[in-house]
Amino acid sequence: MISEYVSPQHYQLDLSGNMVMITIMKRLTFVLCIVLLSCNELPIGEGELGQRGDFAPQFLELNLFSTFTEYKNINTGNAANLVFGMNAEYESRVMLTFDFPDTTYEGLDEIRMILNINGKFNNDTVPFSLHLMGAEFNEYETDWTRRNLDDYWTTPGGDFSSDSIRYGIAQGDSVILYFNYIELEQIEAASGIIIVPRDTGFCYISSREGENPVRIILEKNETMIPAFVDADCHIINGPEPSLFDDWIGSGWVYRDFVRFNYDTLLDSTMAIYAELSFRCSEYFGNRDTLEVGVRQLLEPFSTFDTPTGPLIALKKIGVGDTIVTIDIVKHAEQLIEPPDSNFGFYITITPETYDISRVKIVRGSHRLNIGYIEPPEPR
Amino acid sequence: MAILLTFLINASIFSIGGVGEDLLVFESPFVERGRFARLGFTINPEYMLLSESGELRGVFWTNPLKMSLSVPLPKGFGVMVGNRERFNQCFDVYLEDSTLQIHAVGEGGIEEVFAGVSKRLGPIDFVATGSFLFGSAWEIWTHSIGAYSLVDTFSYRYRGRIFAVGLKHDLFSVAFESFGEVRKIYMPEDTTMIDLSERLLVGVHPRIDEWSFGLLYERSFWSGDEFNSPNRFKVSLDRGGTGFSYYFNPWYLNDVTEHGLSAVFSLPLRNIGSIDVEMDIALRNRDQLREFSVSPKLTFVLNELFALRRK
Repeated sequence: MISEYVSPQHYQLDLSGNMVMITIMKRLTFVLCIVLLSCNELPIGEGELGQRGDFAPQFLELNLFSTFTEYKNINTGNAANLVFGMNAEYESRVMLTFDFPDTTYEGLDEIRMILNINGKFNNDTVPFSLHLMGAEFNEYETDWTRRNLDDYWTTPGGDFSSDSIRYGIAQGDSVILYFNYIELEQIEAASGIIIVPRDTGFCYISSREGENPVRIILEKNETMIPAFVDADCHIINGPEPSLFDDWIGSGWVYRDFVRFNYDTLLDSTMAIYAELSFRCSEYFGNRDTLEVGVRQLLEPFSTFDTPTGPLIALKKIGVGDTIVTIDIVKHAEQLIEPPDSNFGFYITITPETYDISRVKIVRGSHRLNIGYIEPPEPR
Repeated sequence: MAILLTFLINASIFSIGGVGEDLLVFESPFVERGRFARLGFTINPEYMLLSESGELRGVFWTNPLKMSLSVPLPKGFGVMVGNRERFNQCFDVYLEDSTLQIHAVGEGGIEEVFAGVSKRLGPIDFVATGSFLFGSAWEIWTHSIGAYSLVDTFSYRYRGRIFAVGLKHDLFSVAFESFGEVRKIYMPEDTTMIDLSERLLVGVHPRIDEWSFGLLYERSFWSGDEFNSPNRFKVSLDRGGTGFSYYFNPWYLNDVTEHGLSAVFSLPLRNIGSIDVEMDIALRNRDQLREFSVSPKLTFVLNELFALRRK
């Protein structure tokens, strides 16, 4: 057998040759991958885009024209939650009517009303009293002062008997109130019942639009006969903002009207983003997070009910956040396209009937930064 | 899926300008004519490698299937019909500024269906064709700054026509294309009329023994100052179904030049027709940007297959 002698020099040369081959193969593999896969996103040839326009981004901060707070005691007939509670500024009461089944109530073993407390809120322990109502109300029209669109309560906050039929304390997951025959007949005969808070704190229970609505259970011979709510809502009394307060709030609704001056630098440009920011100083509510929304006004501001468009931005914020930023590029687009449509927008808490909450915005802290480019030209 | 999409939507980066990449450079109105009807199909994918400042990016594109049919008629007449793509408007480009990113994608183009008639008078073939131009294209421009992005969409429809005449001798050929115009309907309502270039194609193709030489000169005449009216040429050498050619193709778009080499091999299929395999490589560049294109072309030609089988 003949073996060939390989000198150390040759061996080194051979090794370095292999290294070169390996390097070349690695590069070829890379090029081959690029060619075959064709999936990289390198900005090669970006200068070619110059044929269709100048895409240098520009940034602009619009000047604030005005802000103020509009508020309204709105109806909560469609609210997902019912709130009863009070503090130094707010008071909320829950009104209910029931649809009792057509059955004889003789021989009932137990009559109980179940209020399911909504655990998504940081509920307080709230003492309350239950009263029979002396006047009917319209679930979708009533508020703190009116029982329907045409009639006012004799006493703001609802007309009800001063004597309660039951006292209770709302805490834990649910509240169960037991009644006797006489009280059941009184509830049936009344125009409804009202839950009135007796101490500070707020408690949230599910409405019939929510998950577990209030119900009365009639138990007879181990058979449960439910009586579901026929109408439910809560009525709220809240504070009026001062002239210099910028508030957003739900329940007792506050909307922050904001309008920025349009800048003609934006003419014929395309906004890529419009970042609205503002500072918050005080929070009130029973949740850890809130949803802040923005709606554009469709015509010049006149009242709280000035028509607005759909939500153009929605942002979840944490209670305690000091700075809120929201992308409202749709507002910037609206400003640029028909520039005479700068009617401003409302900042709101969304949905406005979900709970009772309020955020104070630091006056004058609103900023609107717009990033824009010249739009590409068509071929 | 993303890879597949990328495969489907890329083409020459330079087609972002003007009316896109001109795919009919050095294309004459003549269709090969023989004793039988000829049906031809051409598949023409394109691989491209972009290079700029040491960076590389690969792209891939498949041109639409081309078809042509020529039928000989008595007394030296012939008719032909077919389709092809005239301008390709596909592109896929990324831009990165310090704060701005743009991803622009375009797809579509201007296609044509042509029909023509030819007449042989002695040693010369005369041909006249008319083409209906049509097509649609869309572009999606995605602009992003930070976490914010906005999409701008363009949509175009095209309708137009163009005509060509030519004559061909064994030694030379001349063709002229004119009266070309295409209406661009920019959605939703804006309409623009584009005058397409006139095009003169002059060729000489002498034969020496088994060798066939070819020299093609083409000049496009664009009206107005928007586009160039370039002079192009192509030289070719062919022997026994195998040929090579080199061409120089300055685009009608400013500063875009293209040098290309192609090799073609024709494989006859007994009693059926032939398969032409062509490999075209080209280098296009504008300033520092280079685009290397590899474009294999496969053409199937069927010579009145069904009629022959019946015999």
